[in-house]
Amino acid sequence: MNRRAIAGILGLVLVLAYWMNSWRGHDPRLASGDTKTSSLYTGKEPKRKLRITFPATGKPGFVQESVEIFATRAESSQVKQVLLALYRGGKAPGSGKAFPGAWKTREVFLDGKGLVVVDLESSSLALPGGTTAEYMSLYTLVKTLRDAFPSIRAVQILVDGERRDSLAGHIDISDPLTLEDF
Amino acid sequence: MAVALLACGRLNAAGLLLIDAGHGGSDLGVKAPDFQEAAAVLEIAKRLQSQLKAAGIESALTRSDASAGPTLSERATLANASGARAYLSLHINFSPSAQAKGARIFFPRGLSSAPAAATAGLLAWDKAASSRAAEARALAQQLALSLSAPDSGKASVQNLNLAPFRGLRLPAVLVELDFASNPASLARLKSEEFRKTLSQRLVQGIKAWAATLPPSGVAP
Repeated sequence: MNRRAIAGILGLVLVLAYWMNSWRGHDPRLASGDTKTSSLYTGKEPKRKLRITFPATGKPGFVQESVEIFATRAESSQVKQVLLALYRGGKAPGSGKAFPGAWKTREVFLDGKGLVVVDLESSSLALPGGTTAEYMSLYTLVKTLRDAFPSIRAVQILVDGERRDSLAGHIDISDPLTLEDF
Repeated sequence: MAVALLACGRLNAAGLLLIDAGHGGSDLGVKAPDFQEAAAVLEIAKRLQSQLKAAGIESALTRSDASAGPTLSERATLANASGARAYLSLHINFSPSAQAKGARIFFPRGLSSAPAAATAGLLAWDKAASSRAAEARALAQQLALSLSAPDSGKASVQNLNLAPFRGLRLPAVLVELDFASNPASLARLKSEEFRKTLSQRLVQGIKAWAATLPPSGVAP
């Protein structure tokens, strides 16, 4: 193998190493799931730390975990990043998952007056049934968005772009949900 | 559906209580190995109706076979036309925590937490159950007492706006009898003996609540 070939291989390795390193900057927790993460952030934005609420597994109630997201200019992209982390469930011991399966967000809209509309994809909703499971999903979603985004007061859930009475026959989601509803 | 039931004379025969076995039809509710919520609560509902009859209390069911799965709106229409003094919806619960166990009893939020229009006397049809929250709480509390037991723990009571309460004009309570997500509770829920025990406990609570009602038919 001559020097030119060796230099070529080394160059290729360097390019590959640079490409892999640039991807390492993305939070792998957010790189899988529903919304295309490439459209949520560039990876160059500053990061912001926030707390996400998960159901506790070893005791009644809830636990909170810190998560970092990219502070994108579009708040809807931040909401989507938070939802992805919420759907994936907690990582700390005693922290559970309120969204079984792989939930998908079709779109997020903010009206600028305190309402966020979260449009879910029906085929991704894998609720096991029961009031408590539905309560856990919706409470952690509303609580997390309320804590992470002070401007958000209420959350309107849509499924495939339409209002529904409930996700699986229990909690009433026909109107926007606030923390006071729980 | 309500028309069909009127035709066969069932609606006026609801008596004290309209018992709703949750889910049904293609909606099986909570599923676990050898267990389906829709079938389990239907069996418990039928057993409850029979035991109430033996105690001299008339009741009716929103559905009586596994293939029937009325919508929530159809159930509300049926309940409002039934003449029953309360609506009791039976369900089986599920939690991300395998430790959760025991009954959870829900009744609608009262008018104070309903929209502002309600306080002005303009109550939206879908929030009507809120106007009967105090009466529903009385039934819920009696059921919590009777469903609290050493095997399943203390039953809790919570006011929450649930979709099955939408449009109901009578006091309504939803009972999650136990958790299918708890292995010990699931094993109990599968046994005929425990289902019999659950319906007996429900009867005790309903009888205690009924004893507080004035004979006029108007709840206090």
